[in-house]
Amino acid sequence: MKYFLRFGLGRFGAPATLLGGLALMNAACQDVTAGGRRGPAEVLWRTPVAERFAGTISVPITDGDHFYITGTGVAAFDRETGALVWKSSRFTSSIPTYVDVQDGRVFAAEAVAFAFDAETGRELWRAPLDADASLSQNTADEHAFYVGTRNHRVYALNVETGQPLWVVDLGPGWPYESLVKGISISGDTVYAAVERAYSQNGYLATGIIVALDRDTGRELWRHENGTGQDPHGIIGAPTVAGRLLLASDHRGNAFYAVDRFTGREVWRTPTELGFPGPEAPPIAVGDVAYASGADTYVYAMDLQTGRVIWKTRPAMGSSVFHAVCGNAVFNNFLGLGIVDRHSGKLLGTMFEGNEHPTSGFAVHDDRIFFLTTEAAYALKCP
Amino acid sequence: MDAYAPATQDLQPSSSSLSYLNSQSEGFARYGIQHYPKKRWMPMRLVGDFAANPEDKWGGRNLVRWTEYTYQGLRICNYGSIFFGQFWLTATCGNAHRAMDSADRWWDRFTAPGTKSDGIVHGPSQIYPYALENYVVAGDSHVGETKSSYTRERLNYLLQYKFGAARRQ
Repeated sequence: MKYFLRFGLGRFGAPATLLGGLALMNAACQDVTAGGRRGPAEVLWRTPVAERFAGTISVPITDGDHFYITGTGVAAFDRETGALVWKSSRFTSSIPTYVDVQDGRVFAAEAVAFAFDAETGRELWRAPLDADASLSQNTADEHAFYVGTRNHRVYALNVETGQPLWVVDLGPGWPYESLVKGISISGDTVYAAVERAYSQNGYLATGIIVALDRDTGRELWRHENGTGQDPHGIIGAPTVAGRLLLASDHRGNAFYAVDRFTGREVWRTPTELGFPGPEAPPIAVGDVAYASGADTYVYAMDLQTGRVIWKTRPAMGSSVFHAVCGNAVFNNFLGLGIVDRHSGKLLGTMFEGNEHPTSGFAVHDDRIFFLTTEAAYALKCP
Repeated sequence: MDAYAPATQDLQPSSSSLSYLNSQSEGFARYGIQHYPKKRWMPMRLVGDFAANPEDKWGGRNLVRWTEYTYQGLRICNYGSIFFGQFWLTATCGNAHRAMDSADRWWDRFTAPGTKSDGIVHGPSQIYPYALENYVVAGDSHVGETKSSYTRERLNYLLQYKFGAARRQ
């Protein structure tokens, strides 16, 4: 003991203690992607995913019980534990970017539209389409599954059988490939977003929102965000927020809002020049629209006027997906940015290491779900 | 000399050769990807990215992380050893972490102080002229850019969302 006190603690103890401190500090600094729970949002569970489910640039969804992702098929995870519940049959050609769930059925579409049982993953029906629909944010309600294809057609498929209730061509006679980018529904109206190409390579394009009667597919109005003389576009399904439809003109570098009863543009908020525009439509919470852009900023805007309330740069990285959960706005910039949604203050960043987020987000209550290059995650929102 | 090495003239900013090259229109949709890595420990990032893929064990990202751990450890050692009366250790660790700081600052001053650069290619020089959109990534150094997982991820995104290429199974 005397020897230890004299030499162990006195001479070697100090470096040993310091080295121990260093080791502890290293442990504390371990990358959260290794499964740790440090950072502005607590990691609730992490489930490694394999095959083509990992690293897909997709947008998952949750119904409160399960969390659904797309890959070679649809996979469902338990919301509480992250355990894999089921995996569906395989898709036929490509991986749908979006998946939707409605009344116990999970829907996805590529060259074929699919419906699966939400509890078991059993395939309920499949319906052939005229072209691939894997890039469109397709949506379902209790009535139909609405699918948009790369041949600018919109299908309303019976949710029970998959039989078409109606099919509409949004651009008969359009000479160039023009993709339907997303569909949203409110009341008796379906809003389809289509990017119309005015040149063969798509350099010149416009984003068009078409309002359709939900029961017949009859066109009610359409809004085009450009003339075809310069680059414009639209990405994802417009967000329904009261009287407004919120959308992103990703090539025209702006968020914009359209009156959903008249088709008139109400406001337009530009993003930073010199960068790409926004990559996903804004999300409305109360009187505020939240969004992020490939200009690296996260935005909060007045819902009625589009005035920027605050904007924050979580990192020098283009953001492509965002979500609001709890008091925070999350964004994916190949890292995870977390910003206080009231003040715009950056709460922190996570997943900036080798394992980084690849997908959009699904939110339920105080939880946010997403995919990384290796795993599915659930985080508790701050 | 220039007759034997015309590049010495041609690669000067605003040279007629570069101006001609950049003025040529390209009839296809084009997108750029720019990397803006954090400047801290840039020499280590460059060495790592040169030797391996940025995301690999010996790649730039891990080398930067380990360098930062070492630096923080030396700082703890610097100040912590005072409480143990080990002043030789205080001096040694202090000198070491200050030397690391100096080396890091030297690289910055030597290459591109005050601008976003890894010392190989300056930030604005990464801009793809007349590209529809230039994406930025808080990513890897220029020597690792073409083999970076971030670049791959952005390429996948662009192919899917901008060029409309469906992702095959």
